[in-house]
Amino acid sequence: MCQLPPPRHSPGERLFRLLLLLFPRNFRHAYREQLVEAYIGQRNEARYGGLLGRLRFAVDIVADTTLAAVRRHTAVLGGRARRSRTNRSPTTIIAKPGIGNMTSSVLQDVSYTVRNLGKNPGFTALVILILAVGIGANVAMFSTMNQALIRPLPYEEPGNLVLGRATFNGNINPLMSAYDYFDYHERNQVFESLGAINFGPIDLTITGGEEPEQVAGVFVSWDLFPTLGIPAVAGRHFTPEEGEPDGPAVVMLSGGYWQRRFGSAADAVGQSITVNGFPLTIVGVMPADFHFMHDADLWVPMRRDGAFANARRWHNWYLVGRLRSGVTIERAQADMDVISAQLASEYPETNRDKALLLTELHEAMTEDYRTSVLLLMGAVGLVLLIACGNVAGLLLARGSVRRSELSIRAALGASAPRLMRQLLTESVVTAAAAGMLGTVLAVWLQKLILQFMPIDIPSMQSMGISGSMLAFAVILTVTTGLLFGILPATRAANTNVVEDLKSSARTTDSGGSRFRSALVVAQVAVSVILLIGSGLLIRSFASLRGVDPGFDARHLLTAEIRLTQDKYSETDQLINFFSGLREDVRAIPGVTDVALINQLPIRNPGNNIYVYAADRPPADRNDRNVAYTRTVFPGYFDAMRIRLLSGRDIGPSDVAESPPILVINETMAQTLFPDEDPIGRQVVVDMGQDVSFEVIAVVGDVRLDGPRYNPRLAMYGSYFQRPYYTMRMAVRTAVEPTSIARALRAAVWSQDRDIPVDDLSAMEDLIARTVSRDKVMALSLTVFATVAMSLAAIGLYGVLAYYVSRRAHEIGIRVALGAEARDIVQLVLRRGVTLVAVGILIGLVGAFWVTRLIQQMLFAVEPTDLTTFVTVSLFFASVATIACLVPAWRAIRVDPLTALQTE
Amino acid sequence: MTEIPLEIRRLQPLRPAVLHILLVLAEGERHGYAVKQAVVQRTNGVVKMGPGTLYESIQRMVEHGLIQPVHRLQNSPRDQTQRRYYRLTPFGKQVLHAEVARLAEIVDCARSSLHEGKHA
Repeated sequence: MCQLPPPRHSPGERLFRLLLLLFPRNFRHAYREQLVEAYIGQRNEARYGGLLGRLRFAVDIVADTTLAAVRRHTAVLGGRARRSRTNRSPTTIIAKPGIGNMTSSVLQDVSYTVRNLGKNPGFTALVILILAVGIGANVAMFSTMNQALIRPLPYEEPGNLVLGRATFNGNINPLMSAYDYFDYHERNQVFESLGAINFGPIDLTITGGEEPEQVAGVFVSWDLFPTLGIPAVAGRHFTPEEGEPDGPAVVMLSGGYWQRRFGSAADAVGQSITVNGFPLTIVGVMPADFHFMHDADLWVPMRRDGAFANARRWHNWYLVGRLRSGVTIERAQADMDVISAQLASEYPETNRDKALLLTELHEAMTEDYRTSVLLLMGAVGLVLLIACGNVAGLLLARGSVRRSELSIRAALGASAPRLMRQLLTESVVTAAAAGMLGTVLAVWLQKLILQFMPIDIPSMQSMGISGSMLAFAVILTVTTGLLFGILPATRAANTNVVEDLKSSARTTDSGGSRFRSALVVAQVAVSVILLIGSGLLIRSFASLRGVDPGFDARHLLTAEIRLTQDKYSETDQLINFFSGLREDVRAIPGVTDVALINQLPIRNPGNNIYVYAADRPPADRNDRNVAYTRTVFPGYFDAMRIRLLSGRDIGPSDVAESPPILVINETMAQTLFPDEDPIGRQVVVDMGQDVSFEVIAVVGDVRLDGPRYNPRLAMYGSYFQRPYYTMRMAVRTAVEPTSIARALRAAVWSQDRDIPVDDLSAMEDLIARTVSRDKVMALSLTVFATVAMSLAAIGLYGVLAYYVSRRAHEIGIRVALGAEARDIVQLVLRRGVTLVAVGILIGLVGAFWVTRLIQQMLFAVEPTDLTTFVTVSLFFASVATIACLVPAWRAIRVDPLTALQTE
Repeated sequence: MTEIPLEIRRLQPLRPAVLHILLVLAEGERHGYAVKQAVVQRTNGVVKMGPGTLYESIQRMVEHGLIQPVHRLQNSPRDQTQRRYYRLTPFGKQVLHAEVARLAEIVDCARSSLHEGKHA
C-alpha cells in the first residue's frame, strides 16, 4: 500500500469548505469529508466543460449548498419547536366555544387576533406598513381637500357670497373697472351689499419709524368688510365718506401688522402713520386670522376718482357681493345682465362686449387648484385600492395555508359566521393598527402637501388634526379592513370540515383565483391610467422647462427699488438717482451688466394698454390691439440678452425734449405692420389721451407672463421720457447671483439710507417658481403611479406564481409527455399576457377618458398624446413581462415526478 | 386502497431526492456518494443532486428512521475516506412502497383523465 501525500486543496475546494460553514455545526462535523468527496466527484464529471460549464458548476454548487443549509436549519428549528410545543395543548387557544356574551367573544376574537398576528411579525408588519402609507396619504389628502374645497369659508353666511368678474365676449377677464363697479353698486336690486377689492397688494413704504419699512397695502371699497361680515377687532370699518373723492385720509391695519408695529396696543387706533410720504389716520384693525384674496398689512379705502378708480376703461377690481336673502345666484346674474346691457348702450366705446359674471365665492376661489387637489385625491384613493387588492390577495393565499387551523376550529363547533367574524376581526385589527400609524403619518404629510402646493384659502395654514380628519381616518380604516378582509374571510370560513381534514393542504380555490385575476386586471388598468397621467404631466413639465423665455435668465439677480414721492418730486432727481445707482452697481466686483426696467419679465407681469398704427386707425376703437407697456433704461436689451432685430437701441439722447420713441417686440411688429418695415412708423398709445410714438427698433419676443404664456404685443419706452418711482433691476453677474446681494444693498443705501431693498431673488428661481405646481403635480403623480405599478406587478406575480403552483400537476404531466420548456413558458405567459393585455386595454380606454380632466394642467401636450400612451403601454408591458417570467421560469423547473407526487 | 398509517402519511409526498435515495438503497447498502452516482445513472442525468442536497436528505432520512448507517470494514483502497454506508430500514421499505403505490394511483388517474380529455 502506498502512502498518500498530505492533502492539498484546490482553490475551489477551499471555497467549498468555507461554504460549508452555512450548515449547523453538528451536521458539518458529521458530513464534512463526505460532502467534499461528493464535491470533487461532481467537479470531475465531464459534463462541466469550458468556462461556461465551470461557471454553471459554481452556481449549481452554491445554490445547492445554500438551499440544503436552509433546509437543515429549518429542520433543526422545527424539531426544537415541536419538542417545546408538546407541553401546550392547542385547544387552550380555542377553549370555551359559545361561552359568554357578544362583548366577551369579540374581546376573545381581538385577543386571539393580536396573538395570532404576533406569530407572523414579518407578514403583519408588511401588511400594516402598506396600509399605513395608503391610509396616511388618503387622510392627509382628504384633510387638505376638506380645508380647501369642502369646508365653508370663514365668513358670515358664506353661502350668500358671490364673486363678480368682468367678461369680454364671454371670456373671463376677470377684473372690472371702478366706474362699472359704482354703477352695478347703485343700480342692482339683488345685493345686500356689493364690495370691491383691488387686483393685488401694492407695495407701500412706511417712514417715520426707525427704519423705512416696505409693507403690502390693498385697496378695498369701504363696504368690503361689512359685505364679508367680519367685524374689526379694534376701532371700526371704513365709512361711506371715506370712499368719496375728498374723504378723510385713513387706513385700517391687519391684525398681524398691528401686532408687529404696535404690539396690539388699543391706542394705535387714532394714531397717524406715514405711508408713501402721506400721513394716514388709523381707524380700525381687522382680526389677525382674517385673510381675503391677498396678504395685506394695510387696508386702504378705494376712493371714487382716486388711485385705480378714475376710469371705465381700466380694469383693476374684483367685485364681492352678498345676496339678499331669498335671491338665487341665477336671479342675481339676470339682474347683472340687465345692468351690463344698459352700460353697453350708454358707454359703447368701453362696454360694448363687457359683462359681469357671478360665481359662488367659494367655487371661484378654489377653481385654480380644484383639479389638482381632486386629481391627487383620486390618485391616492386608487393607490389605496390597489394596496387593498394586494393585501386581499396575500390573505387569500394565506387563507389556504390556514385552512387546517380553521377546520379544526370548525370541527370543535365554531359556526361559519363565527369564523368569518374572527377573520374579519383580524383584518379590521390589522387595519386599525395601520390606521393609527397612517394618521400620525398624515399629520406630517399634510404639512408637506401645503409646503409644495400653496393653497390660497383663508386659515389654510392653521391645519392640525381636525374632527373631520379623524372621522375620515376611522371610516377609511374600517372600510379598508372590511374591503381587503371580506373575500378572504368568506372563502376561508366556508370550509368543508370533513373534506379539509381528509385531504392534504392542497386546495381547489378557483373562485379565489378568479377574484385575484380580476384584481390584477383592475390593478393593471388603474396603474396604466396613473402612469399615463404622470407621463403627460412629466412631458408637460419638460416642455415648460424647455421654453425659451426670450432672454438669458442665468446669472441674473433681481431687485426692486422704490423711491417715495415726497423726496423725489422732480423728474431729474429720479433720473439722477437711477443713473448713479446703475453706475455704482456696475462697479460691484462680479457684476457684468445692469438692466433697469419698471416691470421685469416673469417677476412683474401685467400692465397693458391700447395701441394702433397711426396710419391705420381702426374703424371701431374696441378693435384696437392691447400691448404690454414697459419703460427701460438704455442698455436694457443688451444686459438681458434680448435680440435687437432691427433699428437702434434706446440711448441716453432719447430724453423728454426729443421725439417720443418706442421699441416694439416682434409680435407687435407683425401685428401692427404685417410684412412692412416698422422702423420710423408711428404708433398711437392710449395714455388717457392718444399719444404718438416713433418706432425705433424691433426686439425679440419675451415671455413676460412666464414660460406658460405665449409672447404678446409688448413695447418699451425710454425712462428719460416716462420716469417711474419704482424700478426693478436685473443684475447680471459672473458669480453666483445671490452672493452680491449685500453689495447691492450697500450700493442703494450709499445713495439713500431710506430706501428699502427687499425681495432679492435670482431670475432662475423666479422662473422655477412659476412652474413649481406643475413640478409638484408631475412628481407626486409619478410617485403614486410608480407605487401603483409596483403593487400591480407584485399582484400579477402573485397570481401567476399561485397559478403555477396549482397547475404544477398539469405542467408535470405535460413535461412527462414531452412538452418542451418553450411550451411551458408559453402556457404561463399566455395567462399573464392575457391579464396584462386586458388590463392595459381597459387602462388605455380609461385614460383616454380620464386625462381630459387634466387638460387645463397640460402645456404643449394633448391629453391623448399618442407618444405617452404608447410609451406607457410598452413600459408597463415590459415590467409585466418580468413579473410573468419569474413564475414561468419556475414552471420550467417543475420536476414531473415532484409534481405528480404532490397530488 | 389500503389504510396508510399516519406516520407514513406524515412524510408524504416524498421529495424527489428522498424517493430516489430510497429506490437506490432498496437494491442494497451503498455509501453516500455511490447513492448519488446511482441516481444519476438511473435517471440518465435528469435528476441531479448536489453534495448539500444529498447529505441533507440522508441526514433527514436517518432522523425519520427511513435509513440507518451501517458500520463496515474498509475493504478496498478506494474506501480511504471515512465512508459511511446506509441501508433501508423496514419502515423505510414501507414508506417506499406506500409512495410508489400513491404515485401509481396518480399516474393511472392522470392517464385516464388525459384519455377522457382527448375524447371530449
